Amino acid sequence: MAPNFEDLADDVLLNIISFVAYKDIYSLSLVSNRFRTLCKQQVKYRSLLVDSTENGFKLTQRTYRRTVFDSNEAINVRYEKLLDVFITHLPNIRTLCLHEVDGITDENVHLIALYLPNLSYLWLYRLYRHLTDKGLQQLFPLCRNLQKLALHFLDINGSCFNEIPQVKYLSISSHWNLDTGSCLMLCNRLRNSLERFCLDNLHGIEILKNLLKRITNLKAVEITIHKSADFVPFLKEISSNGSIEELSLNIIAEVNGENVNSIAVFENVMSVSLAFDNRISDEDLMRIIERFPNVKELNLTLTDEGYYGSLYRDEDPENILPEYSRTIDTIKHLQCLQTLNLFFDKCNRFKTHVDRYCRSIFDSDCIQHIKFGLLDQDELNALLAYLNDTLTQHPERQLQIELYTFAKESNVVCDLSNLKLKVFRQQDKEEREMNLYSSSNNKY
Amino acid sequence: MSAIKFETSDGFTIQVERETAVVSKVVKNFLEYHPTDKCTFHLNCVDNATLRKVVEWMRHHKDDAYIETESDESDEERSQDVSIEMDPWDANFLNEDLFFLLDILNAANFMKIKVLFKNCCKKIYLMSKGKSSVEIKRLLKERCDFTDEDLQRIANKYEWMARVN
Repeated sequence: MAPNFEDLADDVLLNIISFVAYKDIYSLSLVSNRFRTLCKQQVKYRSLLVDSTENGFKLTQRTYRRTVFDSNEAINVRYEKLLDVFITHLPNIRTLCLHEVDGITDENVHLIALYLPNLSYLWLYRLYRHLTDKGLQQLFPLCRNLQKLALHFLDINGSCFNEIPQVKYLSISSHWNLDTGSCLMLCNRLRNSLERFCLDNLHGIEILKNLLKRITNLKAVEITIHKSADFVPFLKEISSNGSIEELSLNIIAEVNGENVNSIAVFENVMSVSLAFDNRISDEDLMRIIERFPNVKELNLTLTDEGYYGSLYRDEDPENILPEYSRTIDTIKHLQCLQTLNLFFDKCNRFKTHVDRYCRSIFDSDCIQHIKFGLLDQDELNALLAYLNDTLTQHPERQLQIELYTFAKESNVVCDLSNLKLKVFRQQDKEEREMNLYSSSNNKY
Repeated sequence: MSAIKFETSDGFTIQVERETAVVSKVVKNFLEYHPTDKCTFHLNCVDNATLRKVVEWMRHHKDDAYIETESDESDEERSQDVSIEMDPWDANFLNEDLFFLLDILNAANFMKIKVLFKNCCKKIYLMSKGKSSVEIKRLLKERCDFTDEDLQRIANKYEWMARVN
């Protein structure tokens, strides 16, 4: 007897529907009464991304890798219609992102909080022409259950901070310079609640300094560094605060390790993520990593050239990325390291020969989880052969490895009981950039 | 070595190593309260072909860290896990027809194997993704109980969902 959808229990169907994009929910609602009722029930608990830009979501995702929003949560409606939808269909939304929504103004923005009493995570993104401090000052006091707040690219100067809800997570990016008064206001409001702070601001050192000094429970910071000269002062500020356990740096500027030794060692930092948008030398990177002797989890993203891929186009493809042998050696000797994620973001025509010098990582005694990318066919094969050899000889070693490759054909078979291996296919940098811009309009 | 046995609805018995069997939360919970080396689980709603497929999945994933750590998540976490991305091995493994997928889904639900259950859900959705209501009806063999007026009314009411980029 063939199984039928009619026989599935409601909660099983609800689970399936939870993955269905709004667009497909529309079709599903028209299938039958039962589906319509279940769809209606399921969407009440959804996250929602409202986006009026044509290709904006893809770009948002690239800029903020940690967004919780997925493209199947996106709809495109004007603000007036959206408010209507909130009342009739989606009163329980907890997570909401508004990205360039037409029709939102200072006068009506506070209605979000009135219509969505359970809202706990709010993203306001690229609403320049629509919102100022005035609107937010009315919105904030009404957001009673807000835990996380992200304010990105808004036309505000910070005077709304005297009303900011006491959130655990705050993410700010902007082009404006926060004045000392707003900084202090922010610190005062969030003194006892803030645990994670993300900052993407050209003039961010003042606000960071104040937050680090005044906020008691701050555990994690994520900073984007725009200027070379900022690198060392930022790290110094953070190292002076002993309670930070998680540090994530997104380094857009070119940096070197010259003065890194003047920074105190980060004793308490357990998790470090470093993403470089420019080339960094082996020695500089090694010095930076030496500052984190007790790290348990290390994520490194290294790139082969400038952001838009034109800087080193004429150089010899054999030598585009430096060999990071000394860095690898430092990583290998980190006493507490359990998880290593090493990602070379590169175009496929550039050789890195990572397989030659990264093998020693697999011999480290304490590292158990390794993610490794982006490999071409030769590098992948060489690493797999090496893994096979070492782990056969050392059956007591247990490893979990994820490899990322842009190689089109690779049939990986692994029968070793002490190795858990997964191989993922991923587009290389050039392909990704092309996909990103090919269908976009002229807005960006 | 201890072994766990599963008996299927059509009368077959499959023996499975303990570390594979405990990927199923039902088995794991049972063994925690009734420590034993040998026992047989009767799976009244899982047939032989389905069970073999499920066991193959369990063997492949028995060492995964997320299988170990998964717990009853809160509503907040659940609402965040909506991406239809999945492990490429699973995506390939679950390339089956809809009715076999439903069998696997039911088995995973019964045996409490959450990751497999979720991935079946995703896979089933992917089959209907982008299709019109008529096409979905055909796929699911679902009977339509709407009149034309009903359909028009519902279409108007949910029109906002269809507007995406």
